[in-house]
Amino acid sequence: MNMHAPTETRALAAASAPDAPLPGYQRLRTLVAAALALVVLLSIALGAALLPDDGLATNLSARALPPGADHLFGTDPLGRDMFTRTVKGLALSMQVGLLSAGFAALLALVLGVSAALHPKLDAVVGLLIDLVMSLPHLVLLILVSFALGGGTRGVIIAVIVSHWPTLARVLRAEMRQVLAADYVQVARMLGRSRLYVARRHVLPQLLPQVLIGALLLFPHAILHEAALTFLGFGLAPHLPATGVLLAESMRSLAAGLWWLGVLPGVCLLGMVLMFGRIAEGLRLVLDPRRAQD
Amino acid sequence: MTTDMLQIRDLRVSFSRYRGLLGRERITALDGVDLDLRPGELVALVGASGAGKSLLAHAVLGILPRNAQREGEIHFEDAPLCAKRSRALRGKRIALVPQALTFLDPLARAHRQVRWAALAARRDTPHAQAQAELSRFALRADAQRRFPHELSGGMARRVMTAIATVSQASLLIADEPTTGLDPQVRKLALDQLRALADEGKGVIVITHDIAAVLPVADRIVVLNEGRSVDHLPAGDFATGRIPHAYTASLRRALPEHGFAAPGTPASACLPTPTASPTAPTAGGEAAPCFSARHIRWQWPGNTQPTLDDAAIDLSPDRITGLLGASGGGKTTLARILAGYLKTDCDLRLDGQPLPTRGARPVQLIGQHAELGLHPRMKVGASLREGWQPDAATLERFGIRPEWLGRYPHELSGGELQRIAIVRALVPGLRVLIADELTAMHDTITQAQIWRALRDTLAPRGVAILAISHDEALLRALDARILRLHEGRLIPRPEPEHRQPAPALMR
Repeated sequence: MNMHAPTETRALAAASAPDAPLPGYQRLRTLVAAALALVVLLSIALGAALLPDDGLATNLSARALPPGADHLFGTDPLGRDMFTRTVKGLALSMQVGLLSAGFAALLALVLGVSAALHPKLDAVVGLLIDLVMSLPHLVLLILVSFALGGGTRGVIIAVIVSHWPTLARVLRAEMRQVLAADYVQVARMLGRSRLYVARRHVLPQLLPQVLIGALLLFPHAILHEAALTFLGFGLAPHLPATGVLLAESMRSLAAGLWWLGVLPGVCLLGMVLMFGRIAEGLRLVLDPRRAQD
Repeated sequence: MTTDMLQIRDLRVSFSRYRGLLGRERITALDGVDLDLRPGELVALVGASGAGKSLLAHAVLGILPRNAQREGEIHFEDAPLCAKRSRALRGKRIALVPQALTFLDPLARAHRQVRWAALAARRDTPHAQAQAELSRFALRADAQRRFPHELSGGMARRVMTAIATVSQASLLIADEPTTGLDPQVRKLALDQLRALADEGKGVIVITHDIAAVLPVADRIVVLNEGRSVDHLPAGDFATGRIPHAYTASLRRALPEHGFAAPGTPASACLPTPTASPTAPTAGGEAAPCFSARHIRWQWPGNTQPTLDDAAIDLSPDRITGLLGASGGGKTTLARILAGYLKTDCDLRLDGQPLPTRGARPVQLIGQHAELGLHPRMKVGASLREGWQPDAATLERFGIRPEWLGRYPHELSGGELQRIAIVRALVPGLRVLIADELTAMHDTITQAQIWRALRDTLAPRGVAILAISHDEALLRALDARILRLHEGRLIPRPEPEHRQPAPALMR
């Protein structure tokens, strides 16, 4: 690190203005968080692929064991290894999350941008947004997932259908604001083409919104997948999905088998928080006013 | 002997910037500023754009960006002003009139924003106070109810001043409170600030418009390249008893003192430019190259049209100057002429309709440079949207090469304005419309910019329309002056002894 201010001057500054903001390390923190998230995601994906499937098999000689050296997360009343189930469950959640967040962001981008470009499309998209947003998320999720017969495909489509409007609204507003901005008019008057305006003015303003929107959709999608499955409208009960694990754990909670719910739950929570942190860091790094923090 | 209300000793502000992915470098912006302010005093803080005047105000308010680092002492009423104390006092005991219009909330009507300020300062009857304050700055009821984007530049400036004064703060810092105001309203605004000082408050006015603040200021503090280089009584500046060289050159560069360039003796006039190819024949004006007829405009909700069948001709041999009251439609006219606002008026260049694609021959340099530059684009990239200026052109307009790698929020208002000026000088340029072109600049830079524009544009036969509130400036440019009054353009009488060649643009 090439710090221009020697330590003495910084100490001096701290003495004269005790709460002067010290230069933060926003970039470093975001990079570390992103790297950490990548490592965690990769190890979940790898772990799910490499862990032997026999952990998923029932083993009645090792029923309801608390967390220990042999079984890191303990075992369930059927003797299945909870660590294997958690990792495989998270990997499945991740697949569902990535697919649904990605497609929801894409849908939001297409609909939001086209709404900003044409008043007639705007009316249609506006109506669709109102329609979807007037229903509670969970009700819509259950309806769509149920109509499609549940399963991974049903959950993914349900999450896409219910989650595009918020981001689409943000993108539509952002797009309209950019198109009306003075700097776009100036560029047009200087003879720049529409393509240039789209590439140099609109894209740099929209891209961070799409990226951050998709990143924030990801934990949402995972949570909703878990919620749907928990309620029984999502993935099939034999799959080791996080929602299935949590739903099963409820039955044994009264018997004192806390690890069945707590450990997979904490893992899910950790993953969700990590994505929120990365999205926030990315927003700051991409914002020119905060980029130097 | 009253004690100082505000004491600033050796204030330094620096910024950390990334260099490469994670490395950092420090950029010093303020490098040793001293300033004292007693209750009942009005101090004018003057200096070139980018000298750090606004930064000083932001340091006192404690609203520096997060990557800024402050050193040195600021004492306010006998206690050091740390970031925490600034936060507690601002809006109540310390108030700021910010420079950029982006400080207004775009989603709230003007009177509501003033009321919020009154509420935050715990005034008894915020609603009545807000209305009284806005009326004091001559904003009528319909203007009070407008959203920021519906206000003219001068009106928005007065709304921001009202937001600051309604708090009854004992220290008021006004950053460029007169930009975009016509002489009448400017005097009104400055008199209000003077009245606040006479009530025993401390007032700092940051300005480029030295001539306007001289009558109301007690002292002048001159900032140059981040240092306070001179402190002197206002009277000494007016009479010209100035020991410091930089301050003296600021005074000499005032339009009424002949726009002298730094380094030239005070008596020297502007250099006579080389003969322009479109030199007028004796006794007659050259034929206009740009003409506009039947310009009409009425804002929705207004009873009176802003522009009512106005007509204007521009010719390359002489600058046309446009004066008019704040909120009178000058900027609207400029935007219509440049094609930003579409109307069915008749715009012709050399008798032909204007082209609608490619780089337009009519270019507008807007009043608010910060709005014309993409916030996520480095200013160098924005500049190249127009054309690829060479190093000599950049230098002539006072643009430093290192600015091109920065983002708009990292440059001062005047520096951005210069970027916007050079960007507009596209190769096919025939008509340049300059809206308050040099209002953000100190006198020296103002003279430098106009001189550079003349050197660049006169040989190319470009007609210029200069919109300004500063009649002295337009006179010094030897402009043919029009006045926008009740939607029409009325020529102003020529001065009695108009010399054909001495002024800046001839």
